[in-house]
Amino acid sequence: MRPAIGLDASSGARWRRLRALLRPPRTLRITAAGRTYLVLTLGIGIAAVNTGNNLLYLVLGLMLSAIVASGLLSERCLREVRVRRIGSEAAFAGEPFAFRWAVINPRVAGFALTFSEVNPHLEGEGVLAYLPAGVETIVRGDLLSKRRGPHHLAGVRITTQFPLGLFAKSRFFPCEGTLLVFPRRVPGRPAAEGARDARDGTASSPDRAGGTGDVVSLVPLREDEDARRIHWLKSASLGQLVRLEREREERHTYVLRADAAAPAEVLDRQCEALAASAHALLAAGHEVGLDAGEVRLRPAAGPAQERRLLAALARVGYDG
Amino acid sequence: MTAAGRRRLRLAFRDGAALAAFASVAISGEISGWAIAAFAVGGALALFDVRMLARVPLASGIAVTGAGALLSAKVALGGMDLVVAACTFAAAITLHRVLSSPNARVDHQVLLTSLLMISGGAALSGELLFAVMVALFATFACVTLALGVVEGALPAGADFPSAPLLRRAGVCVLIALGGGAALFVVLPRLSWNVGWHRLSRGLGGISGLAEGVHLGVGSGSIKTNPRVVARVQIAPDPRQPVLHAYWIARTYGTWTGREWSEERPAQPPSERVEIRPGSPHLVHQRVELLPAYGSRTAVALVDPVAFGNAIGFRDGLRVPRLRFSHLPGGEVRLVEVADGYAYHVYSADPALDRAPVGPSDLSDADRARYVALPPVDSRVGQLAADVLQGETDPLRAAQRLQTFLGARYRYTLELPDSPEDPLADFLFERKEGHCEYFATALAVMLRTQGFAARVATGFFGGERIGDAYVLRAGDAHAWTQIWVPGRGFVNVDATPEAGRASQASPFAAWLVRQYERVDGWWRSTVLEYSLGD
Repeated sequence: MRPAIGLDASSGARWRRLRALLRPPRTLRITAAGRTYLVLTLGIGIAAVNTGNNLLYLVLGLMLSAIVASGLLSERCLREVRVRRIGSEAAFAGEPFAFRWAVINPRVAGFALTFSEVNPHLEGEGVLAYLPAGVETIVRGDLLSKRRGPHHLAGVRITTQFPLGLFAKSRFFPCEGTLLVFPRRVPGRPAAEGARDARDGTASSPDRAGGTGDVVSLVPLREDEDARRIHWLKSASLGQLVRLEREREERHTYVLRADAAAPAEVLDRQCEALAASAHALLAAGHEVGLDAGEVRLRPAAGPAQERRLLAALARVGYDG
Repeated sequence: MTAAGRRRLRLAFRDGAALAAFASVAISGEISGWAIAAFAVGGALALFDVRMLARVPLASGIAVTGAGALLSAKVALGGMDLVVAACTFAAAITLHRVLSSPNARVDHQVLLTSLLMISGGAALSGELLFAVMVALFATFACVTLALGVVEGALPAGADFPSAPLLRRAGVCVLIALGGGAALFVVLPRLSWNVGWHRLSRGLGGISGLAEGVHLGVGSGSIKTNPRVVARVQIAPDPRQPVLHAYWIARTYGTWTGREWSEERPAQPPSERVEIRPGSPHLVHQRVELLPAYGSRTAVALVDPVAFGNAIGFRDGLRVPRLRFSHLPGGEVRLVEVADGYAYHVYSADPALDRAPVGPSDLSDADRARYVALPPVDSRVGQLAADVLQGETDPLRAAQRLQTFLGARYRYTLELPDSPEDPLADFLFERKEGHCEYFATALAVMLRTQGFAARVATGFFGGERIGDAYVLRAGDAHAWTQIWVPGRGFVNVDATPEAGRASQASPFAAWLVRQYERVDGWWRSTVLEYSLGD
């Protein structure tokens, strides 16, 4: 599912706002132990009503009030909590990545808190056993996204089973954001020859004589060589035309192309392949750019370019 | 707190919860001794972190299943109550889980089966201790669960400050207990009455009301037992903190030289027994004989006039319309066997009722019986004659002997082995004994001088707690009754005053008094609570 594609931006925002309005302030999930407990409570309730035995009413009252106590204390853990998203350094589809939140409960301590992001494509959570009162604490969780793309993060969900483990109470903290998940990392593949930029010229042509690296020597200028390489000072002193011989470079310029109109699955595979190629090319020192319809990136080299390429590939098919 | 310390703490609370739950059932007195012994041993091992069944999970699981099958068979054959069997099986599963390898799942199983035992205890028991055990269980279970939840969120081996957690768990316990009490009050009472259990046998009978009075047998240790055996509501209310009253249960007319007995031929039972004609000044009593009383003999303030409206509690069920049997000698005995009884009785008000209460004289047969003596030491008659100095009025004669014995002889519960002639040993050698010696000595000395006398047993005292007077096992007492023409048998007590009431230690008596106060509140506020209250 690709939420942004084909969906009108304004109607999507309205839908999100509506969902936020309809979302209950707390959600409650019954744990396995809680289910057994509820069944037992029901049984004791029936026994109490059947017999009129006050001691059974006493036990029933105790069991019901334990549920109330559980609700009150779990609410106390969640009520005043403030959380902000720190995020992740880099997230690749299909592999766990570290994700961080900063959390503080100003007045009371919290126990057994579980943090997760509200997004259908994200799995995993961060767990904090003890949150001291008034101390901001960083929580790390290992998340996993099966798909690349800019994932919309509606907010953070904090859940606790404290104190009795019978119910898992969750509170949703609205906190809009986007998590850019890079394409899945697959084994590197050689770039297609067609991806080499035709505008390279002799400066970056593999057929050129010499390169643009450090000076190696001075050699006589041959007839068919570029006159711009002539070292005029040495030529004048030697009485013949000589040129600078520099270290030969193997830097090429590639522009990778993706078909943004392809079906989602096909496009995902394409982006993964391109990311692998880009990684291999950049590692070899080449310059790599991207042309994917709306998403374009000028060729460049280096780790920063790889990050820009991965981000661009993550967005291909989602933007516009 | 380290991970290992945290684990030990959690398991200690968990095992404590299981023990409290089992105790809530065990105090009903319905669980068999072997089950109690097994759980006690297993619980002790668990508290020392010995999980002996962890190595043999399959074999122990099969054993528990076998125990379940045996209990089912016993129930099917009518040899065991279903609720008792269910509680015993829940205890077996709990014990198995407690002694197995601990983890979060096992913790939940232990607490859930413990909860089943608590429910069974509610059905089987009416003891105040049940409330204590439930409160303990709730406390331990809440702490165990809270520790387990936080432990599950901790990385393996991580340290954790446990104090904040224990404080928060304590708050949880307080809310649960307080909320439980509040919900108990407001929950609507509906009763389908498909079947119910209530009121246990408790911890058994101890009052020591025997078929006879045996001199030289036993040390009279019952006098030191502070346990409450009966509660009595009196109207008109005497409004006194302590009643120095005689509560009669039995009388004995036959002295064999070592013991007092009474032949008691069966009488036609009836729901109401009238001892003698009514009187304008009667004291009404509603007597509740607790399971600890351990006898079917009805007690009442002297002189009882009529007994009636008896109900019983048997196997947790209320048994209405019980019958009394009036036996010669004035004893009134409940015919049906039950764990506890409640009945109404009227007695003549000793302060107001001065009218003749008996025939002018005994029949010849009765007179012969109440003056009959086996061969006794000649010194006894001589001593009586020396004290009486020819006194012929029975009451004055009895009072003279009472004064003599009270002044010259000492009260003690520390008695040596049984001598050949316990009465002569008391009168001429040891010169100390408990109430049975004093009562016997007075009755026999009166008989040696031709006065009709007998020994009565019952209780002396009555301590006000709440709106009722309680009788303790230690209030058990024996005294003498002298026949006074026109007045019937009149009480004469030769036992020194200090030895008549309970001889329990003040601290033990205080403890029991406090327990009785809370127990009275427990019964009126919890066991017999209704929304109408």
